[in-house]
Amino acid sequence: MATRRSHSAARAPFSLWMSVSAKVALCIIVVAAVCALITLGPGFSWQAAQTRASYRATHQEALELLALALAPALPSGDHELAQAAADNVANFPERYPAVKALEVLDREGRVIADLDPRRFNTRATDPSLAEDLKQRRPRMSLIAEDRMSFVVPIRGTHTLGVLRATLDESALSASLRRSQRTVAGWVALLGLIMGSVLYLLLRRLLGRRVEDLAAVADRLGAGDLEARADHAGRDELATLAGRLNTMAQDLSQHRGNLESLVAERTDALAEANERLAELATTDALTGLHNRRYLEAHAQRLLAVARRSGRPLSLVMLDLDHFKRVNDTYGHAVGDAVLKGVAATLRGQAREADIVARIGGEELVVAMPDTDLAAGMLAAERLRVRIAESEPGGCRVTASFGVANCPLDGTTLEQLFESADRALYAAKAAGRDRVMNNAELAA
Amino acid sequence: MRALLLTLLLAGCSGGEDVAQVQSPLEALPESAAPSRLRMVVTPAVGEETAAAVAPLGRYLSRRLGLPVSVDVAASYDALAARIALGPSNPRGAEVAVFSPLAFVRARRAKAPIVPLATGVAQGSPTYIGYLVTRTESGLRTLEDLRGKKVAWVHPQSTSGYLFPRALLRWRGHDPATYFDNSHPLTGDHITSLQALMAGEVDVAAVASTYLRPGWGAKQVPRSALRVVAKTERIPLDCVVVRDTLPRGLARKLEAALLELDQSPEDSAVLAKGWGMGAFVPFAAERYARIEEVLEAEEAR
Repeated sequence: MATRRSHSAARAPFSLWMSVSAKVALCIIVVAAVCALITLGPGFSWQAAQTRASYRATHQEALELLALALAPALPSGDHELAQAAADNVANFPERYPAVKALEVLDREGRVIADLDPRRFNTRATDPSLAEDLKQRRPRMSLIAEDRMSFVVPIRGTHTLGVLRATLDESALSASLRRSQRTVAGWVALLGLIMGSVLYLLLRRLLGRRVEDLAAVADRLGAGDLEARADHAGRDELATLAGRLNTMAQDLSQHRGNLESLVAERTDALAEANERLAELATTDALTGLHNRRYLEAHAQRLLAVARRSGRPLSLVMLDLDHFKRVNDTYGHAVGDAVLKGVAATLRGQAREADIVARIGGEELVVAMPDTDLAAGMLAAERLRVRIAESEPGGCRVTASFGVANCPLDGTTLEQLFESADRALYAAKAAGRDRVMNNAELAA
Repeated sequence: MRALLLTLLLAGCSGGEDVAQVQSPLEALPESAAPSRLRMVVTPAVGEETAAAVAPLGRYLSRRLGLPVSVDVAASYDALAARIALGPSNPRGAEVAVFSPLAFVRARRAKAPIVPLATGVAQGSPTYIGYLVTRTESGLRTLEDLRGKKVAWVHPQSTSGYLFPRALLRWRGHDPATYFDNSHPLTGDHITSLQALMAGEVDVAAVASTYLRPGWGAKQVPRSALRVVAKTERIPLDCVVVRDTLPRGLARKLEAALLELDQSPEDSAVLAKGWGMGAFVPFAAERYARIEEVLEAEEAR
């Protein structure tokens, strides 16, 4: 499962938006944007306030100078200068885009000059007139959004009249907004460029190294413990790469140890299994095969014999008067006798023969490729050897029953039964002899 | 900055560079060979003195264009369009004309074969105003004082001497047909109107502001003897037009010469003193739009 996950992670590239580089760059951009907003807002307000103040001051000073210029002419009834000023504003609106109203009133409130000449010599009637005529100092007031009112007294030794103007600042406001938008746009563009550069830098300095580490981790996860990360440098990633390499080295070493241990344990287990198998099929006293082994392997030999049509002889023997040996000399001697007989049988048997102890003093030799006559001869030879060998220091004899496949049957049960019958016949006939079923029939 | 703004407030215009540029109507003119001479005709703006007053303009243009430029004074406001319409082959024809604003608007409405080039500038302004003036000693100070008084009108074709003062009366809520005593005959020009006023033949005269401004028209009458009682809306000054058969190249040179007149201070000063207009600004149709509106309103009655 872990390996599969590692592989799938290795196949999936790092998403642009989910990469560490992008996240760090995005965080920096967001912080920079917040800082820009925090600083640009008041900055724009300050700039707008300064620009407006300068704009208004310029116009107010110009109007004050105009009022100063008009003062000498007004008492003499010379209105041409005032008219010329109004004409210029009216004729060249592109020069005075902000001046939306301009009028010169005498001290009685009669219009001397106006952007609309038809108002000449009419009496102003607006509610603020009386107050405006009393003004001794220039006054500037905001009468609506983006609309300023200027009232400048025209004075000689006393008040001669008043100069009133309305300034429309909407163009100025629009210009300020445009410039602010431009600045904000440039800041945003600069932020985007810086963010992109930052992202590329981070990707180069950080992202690729993280991806390299991930690739090494994937290889390790896939079992390639020889994979190593580049740990050059002294930063955190280099430290991480070093730790990863150390971990890989430890893993590699640990796996080697494990493999050795597993091999060792596997050998021991195989040996134990072998031993168990041997114990399961070997007679503990004599070292011969036991009945289980005989039945399993004799069946195989029989199957081969049946298939090939070759004969097989089964020799069954039983030590004569063995109980008497035990009773007389004790079981230790009895065991020694059995071991000696077993050694004799083992020594006489061919490579392909199976020698087994199937009961207390009952033993069997299965002989493949052996007809009845050869089986009888082999049994006789065994009888003689046993009698001559004096196992355990005792003179013992054995009786033999020989059965043959196919003469006495083709199954193991038939052969056992036939050999057993011949053995009992040999016992009955006086022991220490070899017999077969054919002799019984005769 | 403040000095500059004040200067601008007081000084007025001195050339064409300050007016919004519009696409030149000269593009409609043909590209043909320049004629051997140029004939200009002007309105009788200053009465009998007009020919002498405008003669320096002919000399200036001859020098700038490199061909003879004759200047003639039309018999009346109506004669201008007719002289232009006669064409270059007619001995009485003209290729250039200086139209009064109302005559120009009427000619345009009549689809006269003219292409406007420039608007005159008098005393720093491309506009003037129609004044209703009285004798100072008459004690007539306000428009209300003038009810039933005898008035001197110049001519129905006069913008400041007739059309706009009547529009002013309507704007102030009076009927020009009954507000004044209109029994005095039309004077034909502004100076005659002033003379009639000073002679006591009328109580009030409708005249152009240019006749009262210092240094020029008021020489006919002492300025202190006159009182301005009411003013009309601003009126654009005379318009210089060319016949639509004039070669484009020559028209461009003529336009450039007119717009650069103020760069020749001597010629400009002489013309300003005698003729009133000493400079020109580029033609702009919107300057004359209000005249057409007022004219239509007047004609609708």
